[in-house]
Amino acid sequence: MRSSDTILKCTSVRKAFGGVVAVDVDQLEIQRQGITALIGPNGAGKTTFFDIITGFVTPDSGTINFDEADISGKPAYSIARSGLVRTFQLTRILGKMTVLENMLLAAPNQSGEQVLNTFFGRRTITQQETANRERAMDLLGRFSLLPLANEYAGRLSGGQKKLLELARTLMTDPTLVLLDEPMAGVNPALGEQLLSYVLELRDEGTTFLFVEHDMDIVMRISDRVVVMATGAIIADGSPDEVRSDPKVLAAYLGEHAEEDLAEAEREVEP
Amino acid sequence: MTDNDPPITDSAPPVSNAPSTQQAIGTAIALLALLWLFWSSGFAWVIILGVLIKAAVYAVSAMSLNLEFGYTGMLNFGQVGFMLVGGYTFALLVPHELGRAGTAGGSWPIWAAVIAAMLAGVVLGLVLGGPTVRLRGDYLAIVTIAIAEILRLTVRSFSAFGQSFGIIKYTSSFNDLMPDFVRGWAGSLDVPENQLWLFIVAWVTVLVVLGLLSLMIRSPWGRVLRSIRDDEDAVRALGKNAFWYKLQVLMIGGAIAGLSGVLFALDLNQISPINFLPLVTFFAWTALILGGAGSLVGPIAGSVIFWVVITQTSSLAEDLFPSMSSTAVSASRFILMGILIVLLMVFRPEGLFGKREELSLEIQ
Repeated sequence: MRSSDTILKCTSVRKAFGGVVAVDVDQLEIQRQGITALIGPNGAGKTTFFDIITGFVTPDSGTINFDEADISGKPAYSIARSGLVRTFQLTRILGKMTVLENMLLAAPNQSGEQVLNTFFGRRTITQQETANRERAMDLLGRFSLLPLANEYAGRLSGGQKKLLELARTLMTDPTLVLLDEPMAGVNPALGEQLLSYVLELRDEGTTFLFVEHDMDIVMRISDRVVVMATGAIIADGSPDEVRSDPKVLAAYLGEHAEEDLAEAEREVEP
Repeated sequence: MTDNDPPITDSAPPVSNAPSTQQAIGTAIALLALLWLFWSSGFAWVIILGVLIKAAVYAVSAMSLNLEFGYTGMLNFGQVGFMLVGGYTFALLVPHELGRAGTAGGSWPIWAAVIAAMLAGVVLGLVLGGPTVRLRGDYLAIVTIAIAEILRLTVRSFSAFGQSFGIIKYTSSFNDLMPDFVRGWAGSLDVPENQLWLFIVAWVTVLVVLGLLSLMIRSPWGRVLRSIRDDEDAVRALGKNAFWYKLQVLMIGGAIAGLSGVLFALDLNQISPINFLPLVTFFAWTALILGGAGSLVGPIAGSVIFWVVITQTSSLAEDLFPSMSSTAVSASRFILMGILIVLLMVFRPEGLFGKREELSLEIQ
C-alpha cells in the first residue's frame, strides 16, 4: 500500500560548525501522509536539520532520500521543485510584492519563467496565469486572506504572514511540507485556523514534518513525535510514548532537574 | 509602451495601473526639463539633438542598470566596462582607423558588429557573474568597479586597441545607411544629417529596449526577478533557481549595456580610453536614481532630466552671475546636480517614477 511508504529517509546525517556538532542523526524515516512533530530544547539542531533536508545547508556526511530519490547535495531549488517544500522560522514572505503575487510566484512549471517565452509564448503564459490565479484565489480563500489579495504582503500582521507562507507553500503542490514553528507569534484564533488547514491537508494526502514548541499543539495533532537533543534523535514514537519517556524530560530540563519533573509532567500533559 | 499598459500578470499592485499623481508629476518634471532645453538653447536644434542623443545613450545604459538593480537588486558599479566592450567591439569590427598610425581595418557589416557588441556584453556579464553572483551583492559591486578599470587600462596599454589614441573614423558605414528622408528633414531643421540620423536611431533603440523590457518585466520571469530582489532564500525555497536568474539578468543587462556602448561610440565619433572613466557609470546611476529604480520609464525620464540639467545649467549660471569665472560655471552644474539628488533622496527617495513601497536601496 502506497500510503504507508517511506517518503523521507535520512541516514547518518552529520553536520558540525567548528567543534560544535549541530546535527548527528543516525536514522530517521518519515511515512507518507501523516503529521510528524520534531521537538527538542533550543539549540537541539532542529532548524539546522531542516536546512540540511531542504538543501540550504550541506551536511558533512550522510544521505537523504526523498520519494525514493537521493536528494543529498542537490541545490535547494531543485529539492523544492521535487515536492519537498519548507517554511522558515522567521517568516519569509516577499513584503514588497502583493499577497497574490506571492502566491503566483510559487506556482510550479510556469512557462513564463523562461525569458524567451515572454516574447513568443504570451498565449500560454496568459492561460497559465489565469489558471494559477484561480488556484491562488481559492487557497487565499481557504486561509481567509482573500480580502488582502492586492495588499503588499509586508503590510500583513505577523499571523497573517504565517498563513500566507503556508498558503504559498501549498501553491507549489508539495508532497512533503516542512514547517518551522508555524505557530510562533500567531494569535490562538488564527493558530487554530492554521491547524485545521493542516489537518485537512493531511487527510487529502499531504505529509507534514513540523518543529513546534507548544507541547499542547504537538500532542494534539501529531501522529508521531520525534525528539532531538544536542543534534541527535533521543526519542521517537507516538505522542503518548514520547510524553512518558524520561530521556525526553531530562533533555528538556537538564540531568539534575529531577525535582522539577513532576511540574514538567503537568505542563506537558494536555 | 508605457507604465500604463495592462500587465499580463495580475502582479502590479492596483495603484500602478492607473496613472497616479506621482506619474503625472514625474511626466510634468520631464516635460519641464525639455522645455528648459528648448528655451535655454534658443530653439537651436543642433544643441537640442546633441543633448537628447546623450540622453538616449544614457537612457539605454540606465535601463540595463534598472534591470539589474531596480528589478533584481544587483549592484553593478562597472557599467562603463560593459559600454567599453560594446563600443570597442563595434568600432573594431566595422571599417575604422586604429591608433597613432591610423591603421585601417575592420570589414564587418554594421548589423553583425552590433550583435557582436551585445554578445561581448553578455560574455562580460557571464565572466563577472559566474564567480560572484553566489556571493552577497557587495562582492558584485566591488568586482564590477574593478573590472571596468581593468578593461580601460587594458585598451590603453595594447596597440591592438589603439592605446590612448583609440579608434577613429568608424561611423561612416553607419552614416551610409541613412535613408533619404533624413537628409530632407536635416535640411529643414538646419542640423547635420549624421546627427539627426543618430538621434533617430538612438531613440528608436530606447523605445525598442523599453518595449522588450516591458514584456520581460511584466511576465512571470519578471516576477521571479522582483522576488529575488526581496528575499533570495524564500525564492529558492519555492523551487526557483535564483543563481541562474541573476546570471540571466547580468547577461541581458550586459547586452543592453553593450548596445548603449555602440550608441556612445557613434555619438563620440572617436573613442579612446579617456571616454570610459568611472564617471560614466555614475552618470548612468544618477539617471536611474533620478527617474526611479524599478520603474520602466524612470531611467529614460531620469536620463533626459540629467542631461538637460548638466548641459544647460552653465548657461543659466552665466546669465545669473555674469562675473563668474568659466571654471566656476562649469563646476556649478555638478553642484546643482548634487543638490538635486540630495533633495530627491530627502523628499522622494524612490525617484520620480519609482514606487515607495518597493523602495529597495538595500543590497541583496
